[in-house]
Amino acid sequence: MKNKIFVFSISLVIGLSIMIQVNNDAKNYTFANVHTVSKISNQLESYNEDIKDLKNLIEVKRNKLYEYKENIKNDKDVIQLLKKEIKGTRIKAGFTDLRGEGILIRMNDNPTDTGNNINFDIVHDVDVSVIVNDLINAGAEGISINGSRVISTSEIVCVGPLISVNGEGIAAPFVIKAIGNKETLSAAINAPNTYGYKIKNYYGIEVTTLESEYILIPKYSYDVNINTAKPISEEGE
Amino acid sequence: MYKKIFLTIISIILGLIFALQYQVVKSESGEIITTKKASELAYELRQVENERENLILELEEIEKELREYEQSVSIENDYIKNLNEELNKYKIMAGIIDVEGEGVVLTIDNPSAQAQFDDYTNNIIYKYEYLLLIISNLNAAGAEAISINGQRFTNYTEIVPVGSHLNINGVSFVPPFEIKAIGNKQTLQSVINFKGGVIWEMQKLNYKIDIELKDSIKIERYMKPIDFKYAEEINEDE
Repeated sequence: MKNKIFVFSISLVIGLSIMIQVNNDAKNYTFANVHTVSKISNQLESYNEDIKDLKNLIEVKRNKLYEYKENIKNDKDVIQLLKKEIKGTRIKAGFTDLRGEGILIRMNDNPTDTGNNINFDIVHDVDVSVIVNDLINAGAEGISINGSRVISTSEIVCVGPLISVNGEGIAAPFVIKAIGNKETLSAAINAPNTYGYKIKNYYGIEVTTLESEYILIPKYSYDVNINTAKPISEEGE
Repeated sequence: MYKKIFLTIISIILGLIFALQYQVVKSESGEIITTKKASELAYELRQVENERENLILELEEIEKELREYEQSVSIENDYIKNLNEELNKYKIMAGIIDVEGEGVVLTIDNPSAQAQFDDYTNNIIYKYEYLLLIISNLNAAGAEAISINGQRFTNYTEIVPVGSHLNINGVSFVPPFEIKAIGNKQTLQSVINFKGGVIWEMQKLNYKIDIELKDSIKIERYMKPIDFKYAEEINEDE
């Protein structure tokens, strides 16, 4: 009998202390959806980045405004200025030939007969897209595939045995050129665990790279069709 | 007698294990945050949002003044107008100006938690190449401007997995991903809904995909500076 009472009271005490402990902690905590918290954090990070960039942009534009005020006296000046702006913007948009150090990559289908599903042996649009993406991540300032300049509006899609880039069908082997720091670009394709490394070593896709002091990348030379997008610049729009 | 000692020891051990486990869960749980922290975060977000809005307004003021110089009225009016149009065209291609127009908005989220538990590769972070393919297809359909979670897609935009996030233009994001594209909305839609295409494939894998056609979409500019450190333009002889 005494034993039973003893065990009962001990259990009661233990139960009570657990309850008090949890209760105390619960007061200070609130359940927030994991998703919401990370969404807010990411939004914060994104906005803080923007603020940094905006402050930079404001300074750049203020300087430009000062330059305008000092130098524009008549229409000839405006025209000259606009032409200069256009030239600079075309370079950023990819409408000029570029030269500089960089890398040359040659990708081709697996030449051996592996007996696997043929899809594992050939170069797909995804492969080219990811390689281009990795090059950009490694600081590529200009990229071309088989002589066709790749810009943000360029598609890279499989069309049967060809890959369509800028509306033209191109076939393997694919020669990708990129200008940037040649070692960094090379590492982006050759270092272990990169996509380039994986398709080469696990799928047998031919991937050879060549670093060079002098790479020439042609300008984007196709039609520019901006029919739907309008710049938001005028008040009231 | 021995029974009692034995029981006591077991109880003590159990108690210790329980207490330890409780502490470990408490410290590792990312799901419980202090009430104070939650409201602090929300407050901070509002502050930062306001600062960003104000800076954007300030920038727009300066740009308005700049435009007044660039669009000055005169007898040379047409030529200057054409030059301005050309400048805007290239600014849109470069991604350095805000744009507006009809198009589509895609929202992509991971399949259910169960599907991810069954196979960890059922995750857009792991399968980020799907996003690249979607963008490529939108381009094939004539998209004129694209953004992902507000980040303008430019010649210099990367999409890379970093831990459990995707980095786009250097900013990290978690799903869902909202892709906006400005272009002919019918054409964009047909390419997206193409049977056997990327979206179709993703839907079969139970990714949650929402497609909305809109008459007016606003896509913000790419805000980072674009400076070439290795490339030099080759001057065209005009």
